[in-house]
Parts: sequence; structure tokens; C-alpha cells
Amino acid sequence: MNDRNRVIRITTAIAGAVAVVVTLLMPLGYFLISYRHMTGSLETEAEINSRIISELVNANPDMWRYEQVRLEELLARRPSGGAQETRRLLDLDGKTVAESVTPLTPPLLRETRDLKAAGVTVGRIEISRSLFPLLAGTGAAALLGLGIGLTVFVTLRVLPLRAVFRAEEELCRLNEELELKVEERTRQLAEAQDELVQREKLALLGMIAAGMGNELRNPLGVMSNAVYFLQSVQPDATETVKEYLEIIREEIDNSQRIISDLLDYYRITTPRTAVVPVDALIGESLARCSIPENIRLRTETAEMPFAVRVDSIQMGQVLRNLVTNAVQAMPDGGSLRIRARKVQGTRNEERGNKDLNLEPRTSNLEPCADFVEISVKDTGEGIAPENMTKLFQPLFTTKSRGIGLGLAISRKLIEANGGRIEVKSCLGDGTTFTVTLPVGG
Amino acid sequence: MKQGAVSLLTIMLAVLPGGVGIPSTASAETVLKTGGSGFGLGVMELLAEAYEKSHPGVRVTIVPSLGSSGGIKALLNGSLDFAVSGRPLKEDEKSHGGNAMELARTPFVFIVNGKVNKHDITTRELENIYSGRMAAWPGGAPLRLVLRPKTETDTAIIKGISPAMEQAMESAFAREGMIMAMTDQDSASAVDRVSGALGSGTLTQVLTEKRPVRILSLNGVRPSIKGIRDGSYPLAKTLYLVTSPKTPEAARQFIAFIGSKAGRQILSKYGNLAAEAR
Ligand SMILES: Nc1ncnc2c1ncn2[C@@H]1O[C@H](COP(=O)(O)OP(=O)(O)O)[C@@H](O)[C@H]1O
Ligand SMILES: [Mg+2]
Repeated sequence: MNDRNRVIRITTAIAGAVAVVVTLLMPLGYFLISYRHMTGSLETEAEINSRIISELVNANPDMWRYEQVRLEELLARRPSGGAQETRRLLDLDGKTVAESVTPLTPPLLRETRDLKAAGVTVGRIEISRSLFPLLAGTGAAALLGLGIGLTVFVTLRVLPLRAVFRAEEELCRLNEELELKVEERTRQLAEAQDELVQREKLALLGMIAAGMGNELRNPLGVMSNAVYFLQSVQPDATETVKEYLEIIREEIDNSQRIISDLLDYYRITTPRTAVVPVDALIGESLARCSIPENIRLRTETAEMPFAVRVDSIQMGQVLRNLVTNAVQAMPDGGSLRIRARKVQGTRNEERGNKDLNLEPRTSNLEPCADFVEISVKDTGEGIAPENMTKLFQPLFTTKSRGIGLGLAISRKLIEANGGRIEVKSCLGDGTTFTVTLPVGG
Repeated sequence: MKQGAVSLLTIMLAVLPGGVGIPSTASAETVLKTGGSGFGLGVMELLAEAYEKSHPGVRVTIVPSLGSSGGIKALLNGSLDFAVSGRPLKEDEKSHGGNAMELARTPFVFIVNGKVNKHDITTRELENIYSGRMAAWPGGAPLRLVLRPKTETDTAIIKGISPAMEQAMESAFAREGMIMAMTDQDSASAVDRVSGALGSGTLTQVLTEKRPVRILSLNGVRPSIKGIRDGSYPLAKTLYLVTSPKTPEAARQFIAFIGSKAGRQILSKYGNLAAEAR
């Protein structure tokens, strides 16, 4: 009984500590991250606008003040989806020359930049944003954190104890013969518990990641506008400057892609299935991939066209992920083969792949149901045996610039569409990913 | 009429070789300052050059584009001697002493970057382009639209082409990635610089600034002075000169020169249909 009390105490302490950390971390993290991004994007916005306005001022250093209509039109231009702002141009006496006003709830955050004509300050630009949405968001995050904290506490505190107690009681009641069974049961419970905690952790991580992703989109949008502006106002820049601007633009694109992958992973929607011809599905996906010239591409589809019942947008994304991975696995070139064919649901069982078959019931009930198999085969570097089991885990990647969500998203999407994915690989020889989908029509 | 005669006489005297005749008003140099709507500044520059040649004591300074509103405001504040405007005066501008006279009309034209393989554009195509349904030129090259601010006359003219065009323009303002040109000069240089660009301008601006952009015919009709005179080309922008009670006599003489035969010749040589003699 003493042991039991100690278990309870320790479990409670751990569960409490974790719950408190989660509860505090959510609003604090949200506030700090959002605040930094907000000040960052406000500074950029002020900088960009002061430059645009300065250009106009410089064209007419002693008459710019008369261009109120134009200045107000310039101030009113905002990136869509940007934050609500009030922008104001003031002359040296602090008199408003032009403004673009949005009603803002206090408290306000304000950023000021001087306007210069030929090196001399002639006025200033002032941009304000409301801190209110951020504070409200922090409040929401605090509530959410509290909810999650409580859930974590209950999960960590009650479920393991319940499992232990149940096991104890069983042990007391059952004789030696049953002991093995009880152990087995306990193990299952512990696993279920592990999975629950794991899922909880992932969900939390997901929420933070998705929140950060969303927050990052704004500053990235601003950066991409800024680069675009620089590219368009400096047609005569040196090649090096142009090259560097291009590098920045590509890196921003890259970041935006990574963020949308991340958001995709946590936001997979229920598929809207329709009957889609397989060759059209493959054709459209390939059209949106860029395949380098040193890779030979071969597609094999049956003469009699057949169709699958899937969400074509989701499956298109899957095929693009697989093709992108294959292309990335063949940096020095090779060949890529995409094949589609009809197979019988029972074939898998005959081949002894019963454990990989995710739909044993369907197959048992309809032993002759047809499936469509699409395989993507490359002659790339292959996959090391020890990595084969990790491929589909989120964030598993072996690439220096990978994010490791492609296959994880793909598997989620395929399963949501009633299919499954398998992989065969031989290190050094190449890899084949096979997607099996329900036949349509 | 009387003013016109006076200025004609002045020119004739000045054109006589070797300063024969009455010495012109050879006091200290008179500086006239003007500015305003961007599309009229090019031809104003040429008019000023011709006038300065015949009036050695006078120098005309043209400040970079302020826009019609900016120019009129600067005039009424005494910072300009007269202003160039692309629109008639508003009530409050009149009540502050502004007085506008119509100088000329010039075809309002659609222009494309020199590399775009297109010579004519139809109203239907314009509707598709501004609404975003058409985002590439036939042949696949991307199309970049150069817009003008909502308050500009150009925007109003394009919106007035058809009801569908008005909606298309609204959707162009709502789309991202549009190039926004603040001044007439910015607009022309954006079209000149950005490959695949389509924008708007005036015949006189393209001619006076010698822009290497291509002027499109509209529904098969080439923009020309004749076209706006007989109405076969539908779009035009009107150029006004605005004065105030403070406009000095020297400036009024220059304006009279603009209305004279020599001035009207320069106007029409550079794509303007000069207004009927006042
Ligand atoms: N066709 C392939 N050939 C070799 N390795 C592959 C292939 N496809 C996937 N992989 C391995 O699986 C990992 C995870 O893939 P993925 O989920 O797409 O993430 P990422 O491509 O961002 O790394 C890759 O980093 C790579 O090691
Ligand atoms: Mg990938």
C-alpha cells in the first residue's frame, strides 16, 4: 500500500509539472513569437513605405507637399491580408500632410521613419498598428493552454494509475495461469497510453507549428513584396545585386513552401472523392513537376483506360511528392518510371502481404474487388535498411534541406482516400513506391 | 484674339536676324514656373523651348509631375505661375481663384512593352485582361498589367469604356502582383521596362518623351488626331491650362504664344488636337 501511495505521489507530481509548463508555455510562447514578428513586420513596412515616399519627395523636394492626393493613394496601398494600420505623413512642424486612417483599438504600436530629400530630413512617416489582436490571441492561447494543461494532467495522472490499479486488481484476483494474460493486457494498456500521450504531444506541437507558420506567412509576404519592389525599381542594378535579389526571392519561396507543407500536414481535410481517369491524374501531376533533363521519364498506363475513386487534388499532391523525392534521389540523373495497372484485391494476400494490407475486411468480403496500383520507380540512391521503418514518420528526413513531411502527408492522404502505400528499395539501385487505390467507375 | 495678335508680332520681331528692331524687354531674366499633370509636361517643354528661343529674357521651368491636383494646389498656393491639368477645375478650386482653359485633346492610348507581339487590342480582350481572366499573351508569355491610382483620370477613362470594364478594373485593384505607377512618367517607364507589360498613356506623352513602347490600335482603329476629331477613335484626354489672379503678365504672354499658330503647330505635331481658337 505504501508503494501504491508513492506511485500516486510521483505520478501526480510529474503530471502537475508537465501540465503547469504546458499551461504557461502556450500564451507566453504565443505572445513572444507574435510580438517579435509584429515589430519586425512593422519595421519592414515603415522602411519600405519611407523609401517609396522618399522617392516621390525626392522628385519634387520643395513641392511634394502639394501631392496630397497621390501620397494618400500611396499610403492606402497595403498587401492583402496584411495587418490593419494607420499611416501618416507629417512635415517638420508635425503637421499632417497626408494620411490613410484605419480605426484601431488601443494599445497601439508605432514605428516612425524620417523622410529625406537629398540627405536632408523634410518630414516623417508614422505607421501604427493595434496590439489588441495580439493580446486577444494571447488570451485565447492562455485558455487553450489551460485546457490542454488540464487534459495532459488528467491523462498523465489518471490513466496510468488506472492501468496500474487495474493490473494490480487483476493480479490479485487471478491465479498464476492468468498472470501472463494480465501482463499482456497491461502492456497493451501502456502502449495505448503511450500512443495517447504521443498523440497529445503531436497535437500540441502541431498547433504551435501551425500558429507559427501562419505568423511567418505575413512577414514572408512582406519580404517577398519588398524584394519584388526592389527588383522592379532597380532595373539597372548590377548583375551581382540582381543575382542576390533572385537568391533572396528563391529562399523566400522555399520558406513559403515549407510552411504550407507544415500547415498541410496538420490540416488534412476529408477527401472529396470523384471518379478520375488514372492517366489524367498522372499527366496532370507530372505537368506540375519540373523534371531535370538528365532524368529519363517513362509512363506506362494500360491501353484500356481505367479510373480511380479519389480526391484528385490530394492524390495529385501525393504523386508530386513521390516524383519530387525520386528526382531528389537522382542528383546525377537516372530514369524514372511511373506505371499504373489494375490488380485484384486478393493478390496481396496470395503474395503474403497480409500485414501491409490495410483493408483486410474489404478484401475478405469482396475477394475479387479491383484495385489500381500506381508505382513510381527510380534508379536513385536507394534507402538504407535502417531507415525503411522511419520513412513515413513526420519530420524524418535525410536531406540537409528537407523537412520530412512529404511522405507523412502522402500516407495520411492515401489512407484518407481508402488506399495504402508500400515501398521497396535496394541501397544503391533505386526505390519503388507503390500506391494502391480503390478502382472507380 | 488681341492677345494672339500681340504674341504673333513679338515672335516675328524676335525671329528677325541679328536683333534688328526694338530691343526686347531686356531687363533681368524672367523665370516662369509651371507643372502639374505628367502627360502634358513633354509638350510643354517643347513649347517652352520654342518660346525661350524667341524671348531670350524668359526662362520657363517645368517641375516634375505633381499630378493635376498637386499642380493646381501649388498654383493656388503661389508656388507655380500657372498649372497644367488633365481635368477641369473642381468647385473649391474655382472659388480659390482658379481659372481653367481647354488647350488640346490627345488620344488616350493603350501601350505595350516593345517585345510584346501585339498591334491591336479589342475591348473584349481588355475586359479579360483587367479582370484577370487573361493572364498571358497569345503564345504564352506572361502579361503584366500596369495600373494607375484609383483617383487618376486614366483609371476613370478605362472604367468608362464599358460596364464590364468597370468591374474588371475593380477586380484588378483587388488582385495582388499588379504594378502601380504613380505618375504618367512612371507608367510609361514601367511598360518600357517590364517585359510583357500593358499600360495606358497618351499619344502626346509617348511622342514627346520618345518612349520605345508600342501604341496599340483599339478595335482596329489607330489612335490619331484625326481619329479623335471625327470620333472614330473613342478615347481622349483633355489638357487644360490653369491660371490664378496671381499669374504674372509674362506667364499670360507665354500662354498666348501657346494659343498662337506657332504654338498650335507644336501641339499638333506632337499628337494633340488643339482647341478651337479662343
Ligand atoms: N525515392 C527515394 N529514394 C531515396 N530515398 C527516399 C526516396 N523517397 C523518400 N526517401 C527518403 O525518405 C525521407 C523522407 O521523405 P519526405 O517525407 O519526402 O521528406 P523530405 O523529402 O523532405 O526529406 C527522405 O529524406 C529520404 O531519405
Ligand atoms: Mg520530399
